[in-house]
Amino acid sequence: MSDDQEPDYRFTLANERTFLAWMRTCLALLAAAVAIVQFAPDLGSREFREVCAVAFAALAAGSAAGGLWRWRSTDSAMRQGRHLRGGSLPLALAVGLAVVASAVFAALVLELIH
Amino acid sequence: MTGRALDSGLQRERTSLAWTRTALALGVNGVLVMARHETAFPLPISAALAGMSVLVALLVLTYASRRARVVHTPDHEIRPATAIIVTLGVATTLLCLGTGVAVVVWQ
Repeated sequence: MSDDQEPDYRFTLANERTFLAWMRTCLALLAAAVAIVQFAPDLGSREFREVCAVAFAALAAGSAAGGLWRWRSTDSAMRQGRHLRGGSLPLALAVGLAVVASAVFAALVLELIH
Repeated sequence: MTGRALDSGLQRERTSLAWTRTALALGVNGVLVMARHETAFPLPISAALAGMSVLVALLVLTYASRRARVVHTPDHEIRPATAIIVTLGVATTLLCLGTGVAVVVWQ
């Protein structure tokens, strides 16, 4: 059993596309951060918008860094013939996103009923 | 065409498209930062964030077109695109951190 083998090209490309999907997730979250401060000047208080924008930007940064990390560890696992780790990045993102999105939604509802 | 050769072509096509979509997303983010920028950040800041997005988008596009032309490389010679992947990952992370800092400082 060899230590290091070049993985099947299909896994290399699949890993690459997964990384790029994380990048696009990051960019969508970054767009949300920009949208909160640039396109919703009346939503909640200034502090609220600032906190939401920073939260989105943090989720975005986490997605980008996490996506890169997962790409690297998956590539390394494939080379060494080890099992791929499940990892908690998708779950962490889902939870974080649910929290921030709920806060924005609540603000919108409050805005509507006033 | 054998199943394997067909899959090989389709895999590369999907990967090339994934790169293009990513470049597109970066470009859109750059445009978004500049639209109604006066409500958020001073112009130099907005321009810097937008400029960085567009720059990385162009870099990705250049690489994507090269990756697409890899069509004639035999399967066993396809290597991970480590350099561009690390560059893209780091640059995008920095862009996110920069945006977060800009929000805290100028909001």
